[in-house]
Order: sequence, then structure tokens, then C-alpha cells
Amino acid sequence: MKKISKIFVGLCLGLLLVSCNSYLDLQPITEQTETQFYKTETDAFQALVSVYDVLQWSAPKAQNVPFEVISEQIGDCCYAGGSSANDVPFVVKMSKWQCDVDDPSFQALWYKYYYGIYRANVFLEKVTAIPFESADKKARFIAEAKFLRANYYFDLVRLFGNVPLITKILSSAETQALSQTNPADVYAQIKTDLVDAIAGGLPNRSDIPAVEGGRVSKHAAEALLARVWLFYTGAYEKSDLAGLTKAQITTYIEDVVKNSGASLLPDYADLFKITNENNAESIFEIQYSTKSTWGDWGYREGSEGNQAVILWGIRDPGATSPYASGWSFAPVRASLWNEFDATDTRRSVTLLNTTAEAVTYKAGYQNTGFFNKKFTALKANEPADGSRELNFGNNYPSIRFADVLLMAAELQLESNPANAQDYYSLVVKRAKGSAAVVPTVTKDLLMKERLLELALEGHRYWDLRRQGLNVAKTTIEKENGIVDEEMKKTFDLKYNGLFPIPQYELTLCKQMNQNDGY
Amino acid sequence: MSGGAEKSAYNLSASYFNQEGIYAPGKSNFNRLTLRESTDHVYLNDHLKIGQSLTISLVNKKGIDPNNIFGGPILGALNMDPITPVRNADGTFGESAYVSQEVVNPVAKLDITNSRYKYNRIAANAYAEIMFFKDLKFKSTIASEMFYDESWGYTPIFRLNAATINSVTGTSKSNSNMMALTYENILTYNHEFGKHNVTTMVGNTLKTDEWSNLVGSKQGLIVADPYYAYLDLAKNETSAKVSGGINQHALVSYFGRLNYSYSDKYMFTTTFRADGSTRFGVNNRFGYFPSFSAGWNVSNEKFMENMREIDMLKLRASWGKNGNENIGDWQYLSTISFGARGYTFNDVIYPGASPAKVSNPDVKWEASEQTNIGIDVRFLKKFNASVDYYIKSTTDFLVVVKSSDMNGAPDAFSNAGLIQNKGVEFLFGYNDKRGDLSWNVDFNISFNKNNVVSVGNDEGWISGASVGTAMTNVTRMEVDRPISYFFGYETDGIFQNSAEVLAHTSTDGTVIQPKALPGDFRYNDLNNDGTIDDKDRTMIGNPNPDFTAGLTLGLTWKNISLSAFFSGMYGNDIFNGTRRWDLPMSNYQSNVINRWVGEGTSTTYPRVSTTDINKNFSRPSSFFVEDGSFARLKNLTLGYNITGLQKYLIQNIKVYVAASNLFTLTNYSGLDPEIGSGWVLGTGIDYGVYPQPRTYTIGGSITF
Repeated sequence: MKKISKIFVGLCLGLLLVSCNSYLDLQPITEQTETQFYKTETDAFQALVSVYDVLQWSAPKAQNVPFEVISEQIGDCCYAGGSSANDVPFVVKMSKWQCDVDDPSFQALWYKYYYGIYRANVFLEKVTAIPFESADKKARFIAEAKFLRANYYFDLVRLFGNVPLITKILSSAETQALSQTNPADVYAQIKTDLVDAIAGGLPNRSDIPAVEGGRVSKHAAEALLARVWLFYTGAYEKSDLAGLTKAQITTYIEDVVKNSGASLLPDYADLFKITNENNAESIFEIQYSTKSTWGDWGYREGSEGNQAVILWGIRDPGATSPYASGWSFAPVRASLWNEFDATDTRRSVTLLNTTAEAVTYKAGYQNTGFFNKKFTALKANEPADGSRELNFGNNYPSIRFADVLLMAAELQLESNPANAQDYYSLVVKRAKGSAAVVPTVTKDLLMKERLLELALEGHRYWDLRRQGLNVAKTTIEKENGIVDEEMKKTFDLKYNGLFPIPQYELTLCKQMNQNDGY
Repeated sequence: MSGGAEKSAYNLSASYFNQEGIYAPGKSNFNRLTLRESTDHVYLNDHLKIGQSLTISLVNKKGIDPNNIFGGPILGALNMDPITPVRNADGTFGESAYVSQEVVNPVAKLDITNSRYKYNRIAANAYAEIMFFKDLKFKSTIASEMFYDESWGYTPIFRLNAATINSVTGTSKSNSNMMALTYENILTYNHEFGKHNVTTMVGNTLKTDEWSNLVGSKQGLIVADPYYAYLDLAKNETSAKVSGGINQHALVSYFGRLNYSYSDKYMFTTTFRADGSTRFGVNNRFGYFPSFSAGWNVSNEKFMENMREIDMLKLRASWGKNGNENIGDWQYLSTISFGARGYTFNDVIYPGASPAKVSNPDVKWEASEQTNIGIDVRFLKKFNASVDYYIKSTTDFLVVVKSSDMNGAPDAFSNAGLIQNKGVEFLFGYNDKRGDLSWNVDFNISFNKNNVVSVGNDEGWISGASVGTAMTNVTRMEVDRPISYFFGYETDGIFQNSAEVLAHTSTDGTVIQPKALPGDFRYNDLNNDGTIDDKDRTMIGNPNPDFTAGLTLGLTWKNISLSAFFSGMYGNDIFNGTRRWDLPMSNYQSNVINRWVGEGTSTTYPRVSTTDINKNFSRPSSFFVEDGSFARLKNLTLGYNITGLQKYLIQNIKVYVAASNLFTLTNYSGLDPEIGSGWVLGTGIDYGVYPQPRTYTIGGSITF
């Protein structure tokens, strides 16, 4: 018995002393870690897709702030709208340039663009060590990420003006120690990224196969660079963009006109059909789809759908109407209807004139009877699955060939008036027919044409702003004398046309300062 | 093993519990069936004991969202305008023309809430204890716990308002199971020599758990009925989604304990444990937690023998450390997420991937260090009392520090700071008896002071919870403040006229609130810079109570017994977030009747307007902070014992009637001052808490 006891004691002590530490060497099984990932071309492509992903965050942090919608609301064409003055109080304040620094919508925009920038930075840092079979493919991926980073910075710096420039992965502490970068340096970085992307491997627009519809081309980068050039030199009253001269940017935009393979669609009405996306006129088009069938209202970033559509849509149009019910945000100023000639085919494509079309609907706040028809919610486009508000598939054509022609005309008004006249004529004649009499192009006519051609596509405010703060103010407030108090628009010069830096970021990042006026 | 035991004991029990929710009959309920069984056997003259136990619980549950400002039906009920009918004349649900966004008809909301949840839990353990000789024992235990969860979701077609519409039916089903295994070995040596008693114990525990799940969802049900909401009856193939994963966690502990006592007068214990967790990186995997305690039973000393009045007197002192690893798995790793990061090219979705969060490879065990001194006394055979003083310091506090969005990814847990709780606890008991009548009184009261000593970042603060979409960072963890204090603006009454607006100036004469109108709040410009902004926010409330107390009263006369239990809290504040202040059209509560409507009408409730230029209702201010002190009769029970039934083999029958939550004394205007929170920085914010019900119970028990 004693002996057995001793053996038992030994055994038990053995059980006690055996080390269990190896049980702690667990690794995630269905989750990948950073060290396991970023190894193959497939990984690189997925990382690149996550950079693209942020393009379609039309409702970051559940805030209704699609770039093209807010751009119209702060400009001269649209009001705030919604169901009532209190539907989304922020939008009403923003549309009158009476913003609160702690409004969550600014944080949402800030978040969106910095998440996009971070993902581009992660991709650009990790991709260097990933082996590719084809060096061209690697160069193309890198160029796409640079284009996207430039795109995010451009929207960010246009909205907020004074933002920190981050071009690599930072620790949390490093981020918090950041201060704002001189806007000139942010624009210089945008220029560098785009010039690199153009030179460094983006394919020609015509070489991108249909299955890759939505991928960035060299010509998209050139067109975006022209847009940045015009905005920066205008808004900041400079003669060049970080050394990029007018002659150089003209060469770039001419390359798009002559070599992109893009052309104007014969019929303006075909531009905004959901069945006709990524068409001959498309230069850079943000892709949306019904296919994610998203339903999570707490994380609207996850949807692949275009959440601007439900904002543009009219309210309760009734069962037999071709229009689907929306939230009636951004109702359009009625006078825009009359700025189009009656012969202009763009008028009835651009504007939903509820009187002319005899549409019944429920009037929302600041109702004018006019809505944006280009992206409005249509029953035919309603997603079959998921929450309908979150899943409309309408793409957003960020850069169209018509815009390219008008930019090219503007850049060559003095250097090559014949070109300018040709490009201007192409746009006007597409709208009014080949028999239309086209006047001799001037800067004013070009600006007017940009308004009519690109109306309600999110460009107008930026076109006003680049002509100077006073032009923006006069244009935005021009109807104040003749409209009701509710419909008055205001543009306070002291804000320089910039949104406030989100208050939360300021309290956290001590080196940053609030924009002037706030 | 079967038979052969010298002594055996067994135990068998079953119980069933069913409760309907108070707000949503049929939509929120809970029922549970529990079966328990255990056996113990002794062999070889007490040298070997073996035993096992098994518990099976079957739980069915239907639920609604409690304390939730966005989805909860209670918030819906509070914020819905009173004009909208619950149902229209044609039987359809009424839809408000005024209130928007998440505030919807609460009855309609409940009608479309159709989630069911069920889990089966099986807990089994077996042990063997070997006594080698009288003083040396070895016990080995294997325990397993298995959870099988199933949940069903059903989404009907509905329209609650313009923002809350669903046009297709859908159903989801998820199964998950968790298997936890614990293996523990303990060797105990106990020896008595003379008046000395020594017990030493060493042991280890290995705990592993593995969780996996499978989730599927599909749309297009052929019948829109929750009873037929199964994936096979949903016919939209393109909408089918499936996902599933697995996760593992392990905890390894080595521990030892040494007890020494002398003559039941002096006692000393020291323990030491090393805990290793997979939740931390290799360098921080183990945390080491020692403790010491000493006791002196003064009443057992010779010099106390003459003090008859004192039955017992004991002094205690202890110091110890405990660990906390409760942060979820893989926080130290930078994981890659593939979820919701895709993009479409030519209308085909391609999955994307990016870091799931900003990783923190240095995250480590949180430790609580507690020092305690105490005294226990019993005297005159009727009274007992205890006093304890403690200091509890939580170091390396584990919390998600919300940092700048410029990080580009969500934040991970980090060890941020040191929180100190200091307090005194008193316990007093009295019981006595006269003839058939006996009574007892037990009273306890705890005073606690919470203070954040340091925060592990440069700012010295971490922001916490938001209320609605407009009031952000309403709570804060900040150095030299109580944790989760309310951070906002101080109101200083209401401007009664324009002259008062113009008179509210900073030292240099700047009018501080030039846009304010009579009826708006006067805010204190704390930094005297002539404007009201974030820099004027300060501590406007503390959700931590000054003290909590409990009182039990008992009275027994012959076979009848009556007992009452009161509990209360004093000095804590509540941030009343039960109205959606960010949606100006939501329903006001009745105190709006006393709002400012003209000079001299109110000094506490501002004017109501649609624009709210002064942000009376969108700035977190002292206006929303209320005293959350309360005293509540938690339980009252009257019982009767029937005896003298031995001849029917019944020892005792007990019948009782009980009532819980009979009354509450409080000045708090919300539904219930007792607000729990799942998150330390969400403490004390009432988002429409599901109130505690008042229940009446009639019951009985029979002992054979």
C-alpha cells in the first residue's frame, strides 16, 4: 500500500509540474493577421480593393453626407430639404453656412477620407515587399492607390482646407501629435501622386476591358489633375499647381480629349440610365451596386449601394408613379428650370419638374417642386434585396467627358481659342442639336455651360468657389431678396468656404487649430 | 465505475422558471428548465473519493432591446408624439408625421420584432480525491461546459416611417457552440502539531475554450409568418448569405497557498498565482498576483476571558492583487478584416481587406490591488458589527481609448491608467427573541470614493459615451476626477430679457452669447474667453454614489414570518437621455409645461423653439443631470410554516406571498433610477432603461 502511495504521489506531482504553457500558443484560425497577409498578388488586390471601397461610403458614420449631395446643398442650386426643418438639423445649418464645430457630420467626412488615405498608405507600404509575376501589374496597382489617395486628399482639403498630410502608416501617438499642413503642400502631394500615377503604369482608358469597369485609367488621373489644377489655381489665386504650369496641364487634358477614346453620348438622356453605366462618356465613375443587399443601418459604409439616391428622391409619389419614394433632400431652386433654353434637351433630364410632369408627392421642407432627376429614386431601379434605401445601384459619374471638354476649353481660351470653341460647340450641340447656333466662347459662357451641363452632379459649388469667395457669396445669395425667410441662403465670408475642423479631433490633437471664423 | 462504494450520496433536482416581459407580452419572455444531478462515493477508508455532477439547462428567450437610445421600444414610446394613433381606423399602424428617424411607433416596432433565442447548456464535472495519508491529499478535477446556442430572426415587410422601411421578407438562423474544458490538479498538505496548524496547497489549472458558429440568412419567404420563417422556405437564391468561424482561448494558472494558524488566535495566509492568457502577446502573457492576509482573534486571548460582553473580536488586514483579461481575443495582434470592404467593378463585388483595427501589441493584464483592514465584533449575544476600510487600485486599466479618426482604423484595447477606489463599509446586525416572537435587523452601508489617478495617454483623459447624435463625449475618464463623470456645460439660469443677454459678458466686456434670446440658457464661460465652446465644459455630475445601503428587517411569531429588504443609493447623478433631444420634433415630457414662456416664468426650463440657436437641447449641460439617489423596498415576504405533518412523511410545508419593488423614493424623473451599464464609461446614462417590474409571488415548498 505504502509503495503504491508513493508511486501515486510521484504521478500526481508529475501532473502538477507538467507545463501547460504550450496551450497558450494559439493563433487566430479564421482571422488573418497582418504578418500572414500581404504576401501574394491576390492579397495585394484585396488590399487595393479596400482602398477603392471608401469611394462608395456615401453615408459614413450613418450621416447623410454624400459628397455630391452636400456640394449642391452648400452651393446655389439646392436647399437642405428633408421632411421638416428638424429632419437632419445639421443639413439645414450647413446649407446656410451656419455650421456647428461639433456636428457629427464633419467628423463623419473627416473619418471617411482619412480611412481611405490610411488604406492607401497601408497598401503602398505593404505592396513593395509583395512579389508579382508582372512588374506592370504591380506598377498599375501602385498607381491606382496613388490616384485614390490623391482623390481622397482633394475632397478632404477642398472641404476642410487645413488638414494634416499623412503619407505613411503612423502610430496612434504619432497621429495625435500631428499638426495641419500648409494647403499648398497638400496640393503638392496630390499633384505628385497623380503625376506618378499617370507616368507610372495606369493603363489607357481604352485598354481597360469591360469586366474591369470602374478601375482607374491614366486618362482619369489626367482629368482629375486638371480639376485639381483649376480649383487650386482659382481658389488660392496661383498661376501653377506646385510647379505644374498651365501649359503642362493643358497637355494632360489634351491627352484625355485626343487619346482616351471617350466621346460624348449622342443623347444626353442616356447618360444617367442605370442600364448604361461606364459608357463612352465615362472618365472616372464611382461604382455602386444593388448586390451587397445591405441591411445594417448602423454600418452603412458596408453597403455597395448609392445612398445619395434615397436623399435625392421625392417623398411618397404614389403607387403608379415611376418615381420611388425618397427623403426629398436637396430640393432644387425653381429658377434653375428657366436657365435652360426650352430647346435644351438637358432640362428635362436634369430636373424633375413636378408640375410639368404632374407628379403627386408629399411636399417636404423647403419644397420647390423641383428635384434632381439624374439620380432620383426610380421604381425600376429599386433593389430587390436588402434595405431599399441603402442599395440603389446608380453609379456616380465623378468625371464625364463633357467635363473634360469644358475644362480643356477653359484652359485654352487664350492659348488655343479654336480648340476652346470646338470643345464648347460639341457640348452645346449635343444638348441643343447640331443646328444650334453656338456663340463665341467666353469664360462666362463656359461657366454657364458648366452649370447647365453638369448641374446637380456635385461640381457647381467648387466652380463658384474657384472664382473667388465673393463670386460664391453673390451667386449663392442672389435670390435672397425675392424668396421667403425659409428659402434664404447665406454664405458667410469669414469661413473662407471651408467646413470647421471636427471639434473632437481638435481636443485630441493639440497641435491642430480650428479654421478661421469658427 | 459501478458499485463497491462504502458510502454514497446523491442529489437530484429539477426546476422550471417562466417570466413574461412587462412591455411586450409574447415578444419578450424567458423560460428556463434546469436539471441537476450529482453523486459522491467514498472508498478505501476515505482514501479515495470520487464524484461527478451534471447540470443541464434549457433556455428559451424572446427579447427586445433594453437601454438603447436608437432601437429601444421604450425610447420609441417616450419620444413618439401623442397625436399619432397606435393604429389607424383601417387597422394599420399609425405613422408619425412629426417625429422621424429611429423614433417609430413602439407597438409597430414590437410587432416586427421577432427574434427567438434558445440555448442548451450542459455542465459536467468529475473529480477524484486521493488521500495518501492523513495530511496529504491530491484532487484532480475535469470539468466541461458546453453551450449550444440557436437563434432565429424573421423580418417581415414593414413601413414604420420614411427611414424605417423593409420591402422584402427575410429570415436568418445562427448556430454557435462553445466547448470549455477545465483541468485542475491540487495537492494539499495539512498538518497540525500542538497549537500550530499549517496548510499548504499547490495546483494548476488549464482552461481552454473553443467557439464556432454558422450563420445563414435568406430573403423572399413564401409565407410572411414567423412560424414559417426557415431558410428552406426563403426562395431568393441570390440573397442567401452564409458565414462561420472559429475561435479559441486558453488560460493557464499556477498557484499556491500557505495557511498558518496558531491556537485559533493568529492566522496568516499568503497566496501566489501566475495566470497566463492567450489574450496577450508572448511578452505579456503572464500576470503574477500575490496576496497576504493576517488575522488576530483577540477574543481568544487570555486577557479577554473576563470580558463576557464580547463574544467575538477579530482584527483583519490583507493586501492582494487580482488580474483581469476580459477584453476579447487577439487584441494584441493586427488582424486583417475582409468584412464590408469590397468594391464593385462592372457590377461584380470583389472582396477587399485591410487591418481590422489599430493593433496594440503591448496590451497586458489589468491588475487590481486591494488593501483592506477590518474588524469584526459580536457582543451581548445579540449584536454583531464589522467595519472595513479599503483602498482598491486598478492599474493598467483595460479600455478602448477612442483616438483620432486620422488613425484610419478602429481603436484597440489598451492599458490606460490607474483608478482608485477608497471606502469604508459598516455592517451592523441585531437579533433577539421574546417568547414566540423573534426579530432581526441587518444594516449595511458602504461609502466609496472613486478617483482616476492617471490616464495612460498625453491628454490625461479618455472620452466616453454619447447621447443621441448631437451630444458626444458626455462621459469622461480623466485624471483627478471620478471615472465616467459627466462632462458638459454649466447652466446659470435662464436669460429673462435682452438686457440680461447683453449683461452676460466676459471680463473684457465681450457679450458671451450674442445670439441668445430671452428664454435661453445662460452658460458659464469658464475660461472667460468671451465665447461658449468645448473649452467651457467641466464636471457637471458624477454617476458614482457617495454611499449605498441595505436594510433587512425580519419578524417571526410562531409559524408566521415577515421580512423586508430595502436598498438605496445616495449622491449619484443620472444623465437623463430618455428624450431624443437631437430630434426636436420628438415628444416632450410633461415638465415642458413649465418651460420659459415669458419673463419670470421659469429659471430652469428654457424656451422651446425649432431652431434652438442657443443649443439649449443639443449641448450636454447640467440641465440634463438629475439626482439619482433612491431608496427602494426591494422585497417584502410573508411566510407561514405548516408543521406536525411527520406522520405523512412531510417534515415541513412552507407557503409564502412576496412582493418585489413595492415602492421607490426618488426625485429622479425617469422610469427607474437603477440604471445598469455594460460599459464603464456608459455608467449613469439613462437611454430609456427597461424598468424593474413590481412582481407579486405566491409560492410554497415541501420538505420530506
